Amino acid sequence: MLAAIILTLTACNSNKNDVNNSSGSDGDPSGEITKGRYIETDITPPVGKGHINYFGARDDGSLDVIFTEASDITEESTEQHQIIKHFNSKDGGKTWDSIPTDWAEKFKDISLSNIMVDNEGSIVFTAYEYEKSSENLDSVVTNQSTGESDTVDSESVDIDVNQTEGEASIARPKLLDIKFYRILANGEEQEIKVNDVQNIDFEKNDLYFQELYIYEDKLFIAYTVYPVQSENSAMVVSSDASDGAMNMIIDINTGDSVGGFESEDVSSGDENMGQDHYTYGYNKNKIIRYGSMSSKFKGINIDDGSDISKDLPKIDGENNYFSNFAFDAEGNIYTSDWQFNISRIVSGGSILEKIIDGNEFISATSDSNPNSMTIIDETIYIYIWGTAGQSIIKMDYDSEAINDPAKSLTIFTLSESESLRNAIAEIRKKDPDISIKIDTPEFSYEADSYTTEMEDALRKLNTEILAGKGPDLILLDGTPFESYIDKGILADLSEAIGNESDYVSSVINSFKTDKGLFAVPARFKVPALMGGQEVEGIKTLQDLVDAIKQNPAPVVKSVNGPGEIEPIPAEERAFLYALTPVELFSNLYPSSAPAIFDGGSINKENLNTFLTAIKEIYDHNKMGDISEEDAQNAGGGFGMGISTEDGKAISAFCNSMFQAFGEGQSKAALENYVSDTIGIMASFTGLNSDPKLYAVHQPGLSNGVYIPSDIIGVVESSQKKDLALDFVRCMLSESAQNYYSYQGSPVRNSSIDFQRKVYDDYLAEIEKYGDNPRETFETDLRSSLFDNLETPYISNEVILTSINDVLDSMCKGDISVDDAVNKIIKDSEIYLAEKD
Amino acid sequence: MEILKKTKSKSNLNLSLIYKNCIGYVFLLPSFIGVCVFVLIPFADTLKRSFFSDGTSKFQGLSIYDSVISNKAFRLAVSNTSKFIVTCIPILIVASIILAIIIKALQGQGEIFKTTFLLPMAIPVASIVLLWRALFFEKGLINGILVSTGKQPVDFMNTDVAFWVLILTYVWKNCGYDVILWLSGMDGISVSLYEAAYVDGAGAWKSFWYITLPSLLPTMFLTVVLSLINTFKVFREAYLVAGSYPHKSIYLLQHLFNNWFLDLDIERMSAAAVMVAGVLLILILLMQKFWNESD
Repeated sequence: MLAAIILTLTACNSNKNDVNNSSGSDGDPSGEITKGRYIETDITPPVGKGHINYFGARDDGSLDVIFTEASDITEESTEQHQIIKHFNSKDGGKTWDSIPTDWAEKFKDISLSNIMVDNEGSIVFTAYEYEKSSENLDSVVTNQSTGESDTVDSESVDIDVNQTEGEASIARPKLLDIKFYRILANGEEQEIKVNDVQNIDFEKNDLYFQELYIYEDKLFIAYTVYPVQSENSAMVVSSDASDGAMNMIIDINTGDSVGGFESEDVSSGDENMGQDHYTYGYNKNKIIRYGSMSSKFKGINIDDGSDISKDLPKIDGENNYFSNFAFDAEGNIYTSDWQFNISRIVSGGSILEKIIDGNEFISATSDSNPNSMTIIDETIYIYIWGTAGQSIIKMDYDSEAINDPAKSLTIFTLSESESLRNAIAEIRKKDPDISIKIDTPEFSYEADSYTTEMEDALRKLNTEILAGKGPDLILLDGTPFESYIDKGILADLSEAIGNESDYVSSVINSFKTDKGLFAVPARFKVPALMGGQEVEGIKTLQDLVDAIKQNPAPVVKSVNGPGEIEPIPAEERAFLYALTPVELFSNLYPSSAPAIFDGGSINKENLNTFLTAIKEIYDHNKMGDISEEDAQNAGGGFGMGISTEDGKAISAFCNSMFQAFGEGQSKAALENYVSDTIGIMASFTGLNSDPKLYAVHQPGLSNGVYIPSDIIGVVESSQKKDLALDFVRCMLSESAQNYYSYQGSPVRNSSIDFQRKVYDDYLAEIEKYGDNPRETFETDLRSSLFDNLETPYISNEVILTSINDVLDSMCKGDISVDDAVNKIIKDSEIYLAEKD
Repeated sequence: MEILKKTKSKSNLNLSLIYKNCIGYVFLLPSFIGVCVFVLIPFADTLKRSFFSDGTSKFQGLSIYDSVISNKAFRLAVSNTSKFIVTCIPILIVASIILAIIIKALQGQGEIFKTTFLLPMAIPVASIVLLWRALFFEKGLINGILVSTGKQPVDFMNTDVAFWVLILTYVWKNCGYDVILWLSGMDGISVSLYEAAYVDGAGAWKSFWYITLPSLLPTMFLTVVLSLINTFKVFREAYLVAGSYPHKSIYLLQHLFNNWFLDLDIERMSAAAVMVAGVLLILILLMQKFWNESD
């Protein structure tokens, strides 16, 4: 009766999240055919290999695209120059007229940025003049937020960081001057004086312009000033670099500032969080600014700098991260976020109304971003940029377009997934009428309630599955998928995946059961120990402990704020820069986890061996003497650093252990290897004195451990099983797998090869310019890490929590290792008994 | 003719009876349909699931029941739940009846306490959880007082003390409701009985023992059954404070059901639920029999 009550009650709650996930074109849950949805059309002008620098609309409804490309190197011309092209469309992107750009000849060797076209067709831009001698380019840095790459000069580097979003663009040669120009529609060139910028000492400072907007005779600019670092120092930015952020309205007739937004710090409790992170939007003479930390709109009138904030909406909710704003004729504000969700705030309203779900975009792959957006009539135009390409698309609402429920798939997932995003783009490329509804619970991400919320979501999912109303597909990460397989809830994917030899066999094989293949990971990571040649000799956990003991304890660097990191001599470097037991445990556990917990019981002896190793490393690295604050500050910011030896830079999502290795503070690092780790490693090889990087499977108590991710399964009872299986095919297709993802390396062999080729091409490109060719080591590295994969590591929160609960007291010596082991076993007793 | 009349009259009587019964059944029907849809049919499904395996739908006989009974987690949950019921219901009954008598004795002045004691029922679970944390966590109010008076802090939530914290919460939350039940029972006792007893020389204690208590027996049955049902509602507090795997002493049957459901272990969950429902039914029937006999 209790079960009946539980089932009844949970079934009553089963639809509570539906409202949050609904969007304009979702299939009707009633199963009836409905009409009306946005239709995506690619209207990209013929930009060739050029890079789009500007996309926008004029008041007359015409569209402008400006792009730049590098001239080819020929026998006659061995130097590359910048070519600028301008297109205009008066029919919403159906046809594009080429606009002459003779004016650009003068600027062919000058770096132009922040290009925009005003209502009269004048082109406004910023021109950076750099020191001529600094033209050897030998490192490439990727902006992790936008995906844009930039080149890095080996002599003089600088760094621009937006800490809030992890956005980083690194490196320009030494800056000599910055000028602003306006090219009138008749080709006449005007230099715009900006007195405040001209007064900046470029010997000591560098500038990064975020915004430039011109309206009649007023120019609005927003920029950040950074102090130039000394040539032989490494710089790690860990505090809010926007401390030097400026903005102002310039009267272009006088060059004087006539106003701007007031600078405001954001506080959280007693802590000053520094300046907010802003997104700007422009609507004729109105400039609006949204602070993602303060969740507030501010506005000024560009004519006189007067405050118009009181007329702007106050939207509900926090954590809104917008990438763009656009306005329609009624003054309604349209927003896009990094997930391509397009929302509208009605003029005078306070509700962020989602009008297009990010999953409705065919062009929205995982590595692409909506870079700019504009509205003409009711059509939304978006410029999308990604490493795989760029496009300008328009979204038209077609009230007659049919939403066929038979072509609607629902996918349950506990978290965002790049693989899903790419598969959606792939399947909608084949059939744009297919609609995908992602059923994701909304988490508050507060430590106290996260587990409860996740369990609520799983309870809801289980109830729906039992009621036969579940999703068509489940992204199984974080779900009890082994139980789903046992209970026959998932469909066999053996046929859907096609030829098994197309995939990394060990990964696929470990998911096979006697009855078939019911779940497939689209990605996987390999826990690895990376470093100098000495890592090759480390095979066991004890070898690692011995290596750590044979080297000094880490010297704690502190970079609380922009600072400089000096590498320390090799003999003074620690083997592993592990500063806290939690960091050490979380990085070292995966390779031992399968030997400690086999799903049904805890191996006491192995747990003891593992914890003893942790304790020995803790003692040797003197972690007890390192304060939490020091450990945090030593982590740097967003895994970014610049070489102390040759000025090369890295920017990557790597852990602080790996970062410290790159900064010359340690000899090795524990990090999960994914394909694009290659890019990270390439940078690191330049950072350490040893030019070659070595990697081995992370030493542990289990062999050949890998971490599967983006595990997909099809619900057996789905009414649209064939379509769901098609989706799996798309997720594992070459084009979807070719994308880089931090979730892991692709499981398809040809995509791994594709990524290697991209990297080889990238190396070749660098070597063409550079005087420091890099070694192509990744083939060896990959074969040593990707071969012999045997055991998937599926994290178990109950066991992890039990170990984490005793970790600190065990390391501090409050309890012995034996007592810690006994307590972990005792704490896990009920959980294990339930599974019995 | 006479016989014919009698037969006709008897036939009319039967028709009238049938008609009356039908009317009764018609009125019962909506409620019966509700019970069928929301309780009986799901329970029948639960019963069926307890004999068949989830994956293959094969008949398993009593093997699922055997697996549940031999499961250590189930035994611990049954033991804790029984201990919880046996401990908290007497405490609740005694505490609420004492409070009800005091409120009754205060007459009009006691009205405010009725409302006050009911307040905990109106407090949302999330707020109760916050209160728990403020009071009983490592750096909570009670430990603050203990430390300030030179005593050692108590790890309330990770020791056997957690059980008593749960008892306290249950009693605190449900006491007001039971007080109202007792007071309504007391209101039903005729004042003339007390007056007669007073004339016969009975004091307050004797009046309580020989008049109030026996007269409250029907109310006691209702109160005990409702309190028993409410013991199963305390799970929300325990779950929100300590999660799916709390300290052993407060690991209740509901934790086990919750975790098995998350794992979609429906067959074992069903078998366990059938057993628990059976035990509860027997318990309630026995109580009813006892009370009927007492009457």
